[in-house]
Amino acid sequence: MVDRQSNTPDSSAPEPLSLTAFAASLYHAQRADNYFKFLKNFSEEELANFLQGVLRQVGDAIDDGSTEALARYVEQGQVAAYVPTQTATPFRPDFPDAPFAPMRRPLREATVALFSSGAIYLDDQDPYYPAELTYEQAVREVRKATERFPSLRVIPAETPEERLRAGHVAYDIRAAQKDINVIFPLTRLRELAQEEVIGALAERNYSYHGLTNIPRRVQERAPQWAQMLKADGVDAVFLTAG
Amino acid sequence: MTVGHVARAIESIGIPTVCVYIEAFRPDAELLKPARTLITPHLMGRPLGLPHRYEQQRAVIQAALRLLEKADHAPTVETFVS
Repeated sequence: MVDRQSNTPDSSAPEPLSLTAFAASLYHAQRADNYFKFLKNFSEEELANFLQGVLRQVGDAIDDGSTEALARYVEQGQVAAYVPTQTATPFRPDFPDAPFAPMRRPLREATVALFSSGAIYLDDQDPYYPAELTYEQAVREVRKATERFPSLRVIPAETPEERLRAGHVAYDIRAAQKDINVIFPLTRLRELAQEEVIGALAERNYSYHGLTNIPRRVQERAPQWAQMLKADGVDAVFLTAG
Repeated sequence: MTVGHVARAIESIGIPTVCVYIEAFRPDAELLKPARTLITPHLMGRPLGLPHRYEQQRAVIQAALRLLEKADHAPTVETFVS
């Protein structure tokens, strides 16, 4: 190992990168990383503590051959980073009421539709972000990428899962690329229909690209989308959020 | 979090819904109040859990489906325990 030391100051050396600047670069910026972009919400001290904890958990994961504790640690970090940011706003109102529709038939007789904000699309459909952008560019240029949101895509019940794609620019899509059922469980619901746990999976299932800064547009379209589901004759809707 | 808005619109025309949210977005569910929410201890982009964990995915789905049947008022929020 070479110990790189120099007594000569290098005027061309870049400014030292602070922990908070590094975390900010993960958030749709130079080092865009949707898995860990939540680190942007931490103070320098919180970042140092969290990253030290990650290193400790990585060491244990290697020694123990198990990533469960590491996964739990990261999940708890994500919760700690996001929960304080979710206060009531005009786009995230604290609704005084909660519409309620009871099930009208037993689940084993019900037709259930899958509906996801996870930006799922078919391999012969355009992704949600503009075609001139690569996915990586869309993640970095999230404002430009959101110009076309929220269009709705129809996903037929019998779609083989290898034809499904995830194009969401604000969550890490690597798990969905490995197994789309982590967010769009079309195959799992089809299996439950075959086992008669549910009556049927709806012929038409849906996805759109949810994003926290466009809820107004979603609110405007939601009544039309609800009417589509009514026209489809579904008995219940299973929704997943990224 | 926007699925909460969609679920409310669907529910208001008489179709029951259940939403699966991750723990990090629990406050969204509590504010928007979709009729039924299952909160899972998973990471963003993986509300049903990790890739290829077939039994884990089924357990989440079945817990959400049970919520569809058993909830008798809204909002009903349940935490999934694996």
